Amino acid sequence: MKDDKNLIGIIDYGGSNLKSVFNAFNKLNIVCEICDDYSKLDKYDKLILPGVGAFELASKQLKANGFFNKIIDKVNSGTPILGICLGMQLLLNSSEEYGYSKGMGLIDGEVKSFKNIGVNPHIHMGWNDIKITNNSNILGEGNETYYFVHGYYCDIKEQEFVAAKVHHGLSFDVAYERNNIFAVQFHPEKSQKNGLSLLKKFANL
Amino acid sequence: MVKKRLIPVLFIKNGQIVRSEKFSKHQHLGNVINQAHRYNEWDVDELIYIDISVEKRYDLNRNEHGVKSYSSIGEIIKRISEECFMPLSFGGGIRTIEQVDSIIRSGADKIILNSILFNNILFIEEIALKYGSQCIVVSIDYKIVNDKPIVFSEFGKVSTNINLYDWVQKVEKYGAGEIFLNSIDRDGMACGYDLETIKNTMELVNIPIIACGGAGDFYDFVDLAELGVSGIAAGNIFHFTENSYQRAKKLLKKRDVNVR
Repeated sequence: MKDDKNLIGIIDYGGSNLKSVFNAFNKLNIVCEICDDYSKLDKYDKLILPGVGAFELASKQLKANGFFNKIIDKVNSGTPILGICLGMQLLLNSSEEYGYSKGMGLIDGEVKSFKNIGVNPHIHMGWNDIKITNNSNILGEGNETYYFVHGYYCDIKEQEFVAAKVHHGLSFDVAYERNNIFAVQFHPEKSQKNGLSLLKKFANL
Repeated sequence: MVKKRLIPVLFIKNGQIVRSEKFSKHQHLGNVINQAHRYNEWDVDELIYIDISVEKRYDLNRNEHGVKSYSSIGEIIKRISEECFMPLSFGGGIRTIEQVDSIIRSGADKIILNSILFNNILFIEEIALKYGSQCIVVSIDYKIVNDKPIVFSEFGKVSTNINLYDWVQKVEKYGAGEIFLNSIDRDGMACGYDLETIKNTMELVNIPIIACGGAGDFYDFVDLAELGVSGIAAGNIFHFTENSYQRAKKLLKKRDVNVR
């Protein structure tokens, strides 16, 4: 770690896989806290936006809890953030899930439905090999296997910041890295060794 | 391409892992937390836990080891998710959105629904709205009755008189993310999977299917994989065969099945 002050905050906006992320950091002996109060977000040096959920409701909850704008401000002022699964999708401009809803716009892109383009099965569920497309500070060097479970995928405009892609019906963006913004579509906290290594790299940035 | 998952299924009865046969005989196999630890060491693709306790009493029999007992399934899940860095699905007796909240927040990735859906199929929509369809596994237990696959509820005890092929299409329509198909006739019988019914089901839906019931040896896994299912599930074979998981994976790889 670069300095002593490196506290990770896992954002708790109601109904999510935050316990698994917390357990993974615990296993790695990395200090982190679950934070359910936006006004306390300033004490954290790094943020994790986890995600098992539906986009529209999660976006509403983030706004209702005061997190939405606070996260945008903190990330714009340089705090590293890692979005996981729905947490990645929420960083984009918008999603098609249950109609149309707006995301945080920190990543220029849209979240789209597998079903609408006829991918079968329309849920991407299971382990898949990612293909690394750009240099990354948190991914490994080879084409690694991670666990995915999602029915919507990220279509990112800024391809130069897409760190990895995967193939399920089509090839789509599953890892993003630009300055202090990191996002992955798969679940590192559920991807055994590869996943734990990714979380460790993020913590040690 | 997404890989075929090989998934151990663990039945929990009153805090113990049990072996199941035709959904009725249950033999105790040991503490649920120790088993979870073991499966994590094996680096399994995913784990399915189904709580079949009727009394809903959670004694992990750990008093003898000087460790306290656990009072709820929530506590069991919390302990398992501290040991397991792989996808976990939980089911058995889920009736309310509050139970779902608690299970997800305790560290489960997917929840498994079964009997409740015969009274309240809208429960799928309710959960999907909050957690997304990908989070919902619909478990279906069926028996072949007069050459037709008929769905049973309440751990295989009660016939619903619903045809499996109608039911899978209905649960998909309401937002199920995945189907866990279990043959009651073949449970614990080691006679091979019910390939015909599984194949027919796959042709009817566009969501992943995990098939279970009847695995007798690793060649049964190959047969099922070649059928194209998303998940190959089994219970007993992993409990009683030495190094079973690793050996099964080795055979699948040798047979060119896309596994991890």
